[in-house]
Amino acid sequence: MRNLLLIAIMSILTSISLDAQRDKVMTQVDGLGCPYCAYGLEKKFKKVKGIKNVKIEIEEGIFTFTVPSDLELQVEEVNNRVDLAGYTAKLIEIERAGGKVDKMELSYADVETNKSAEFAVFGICNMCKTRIENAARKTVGVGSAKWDKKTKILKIEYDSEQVNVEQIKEALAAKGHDTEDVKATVASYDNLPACCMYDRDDLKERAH
Amino acid sequence: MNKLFFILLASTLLISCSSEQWTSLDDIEIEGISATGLVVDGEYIWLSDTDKNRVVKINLSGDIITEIKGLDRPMHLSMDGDHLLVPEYMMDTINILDKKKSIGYLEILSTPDAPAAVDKRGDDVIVADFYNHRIIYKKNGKSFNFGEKGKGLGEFHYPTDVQFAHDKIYVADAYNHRVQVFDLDANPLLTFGEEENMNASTGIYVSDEHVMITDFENDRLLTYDLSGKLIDIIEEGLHRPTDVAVEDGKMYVLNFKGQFISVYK
Repeated sequence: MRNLLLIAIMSILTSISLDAQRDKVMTQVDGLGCPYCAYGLEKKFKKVKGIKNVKIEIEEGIFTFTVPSDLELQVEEVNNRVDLAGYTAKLIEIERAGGKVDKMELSYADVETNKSAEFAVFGICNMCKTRIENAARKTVGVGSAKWDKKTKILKIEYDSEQVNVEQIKEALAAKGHDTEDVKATVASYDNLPACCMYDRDDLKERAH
Repeated sequence: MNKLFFILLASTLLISCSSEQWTSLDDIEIEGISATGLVVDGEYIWLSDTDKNRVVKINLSGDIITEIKGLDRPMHLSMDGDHLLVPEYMMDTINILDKKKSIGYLEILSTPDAPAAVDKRGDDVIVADFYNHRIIYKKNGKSFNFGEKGKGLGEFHYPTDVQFAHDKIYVADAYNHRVQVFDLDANPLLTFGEEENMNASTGIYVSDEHVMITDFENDRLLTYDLSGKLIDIIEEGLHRPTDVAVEDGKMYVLNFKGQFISVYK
């Protein structure tokens, strides 16, 4: 009887210990506006093995979950996964089981620009706006990017010695956004959240 | 003078007879509730608080009267007599509530991936199957699906709301930005709303004479007649509307952002 009690206590202690060995991941995501897509993202993450305590708070744009510490999940990997899901992370924090906190904030390099350009980029909502502007700004040599949801026009300033417009359009297409002359692949378009799936049949009509 | 009086009288009569526009009455604050769906139940309103995984009953002042917890991302609600039907987005189930607690799950045979809405008429059931781009239809005891991903007639791009009305099935075909209408054999009859450049037609309500649809990203509420002719657009005072219902001549529009319900007559 005493042995059984000991085993039960050990079992509880082990489970507490195992449960404690989890890292807490918090990401602040820009553009978690649509409940259907946001909770869809939560649903997708819940199905990933090892991930627990998945929660999305749409109002604050905060997405949290925990992972086993021995996975040694890095902020870059979280950023890539959020990006692959079609979202843009402004802040990522991983609180390790030991108390250490790893952090990454969205930031852009300062660029001295010597040229500007504007062209139509196809998107539909505020999440698209965040993704388009981020994709452009993340391209080396781009100093500023501003996209207008109504006109679909992206205005950029860039350093022509580091980058050209074609390369910026390629970067946008890689994130699922068409321009007049550079199209996203079907795979990258299909990867967009539901609310970002702009109509691809009337591109020219929308541009003019 | 007589002529002027006649013109004024005729104008007044014409305006009052042809007025099918909604007039703003009030806002009901619903602080702490981020809801996706609503149904009106007499003097009360049921809301699916998707954020807090609960369904709440509020009075017309916005006070919470009843709270039913333990749901998993409840979406667009439906009334079935004394029961509430609650699609659970995470669990892929339709929970049945007796207005106090869960009493079981609706049997629909096909498994949805993120059910966004449900409606029941007699024993027949329709479910908006969001990620599968289809409607699950239980008819005469048999379950089948109609629609697939696409933009054509009878195809869907993430349907978010459904309703039986006038011996037809109405679907908020959200990311095709339109309304689709089917007969009870699931044959497509009509689409409308494309001309209004909606950006996610998320919530639908069909009354005796009209079809109301929320235009989520554009913060609008559009009203059509049953043939799909545009009657009215509300463009001010809404903030990411997701659902709408009409009861006793009043229209209730649920705003996902800002936590309030807009009331019109």
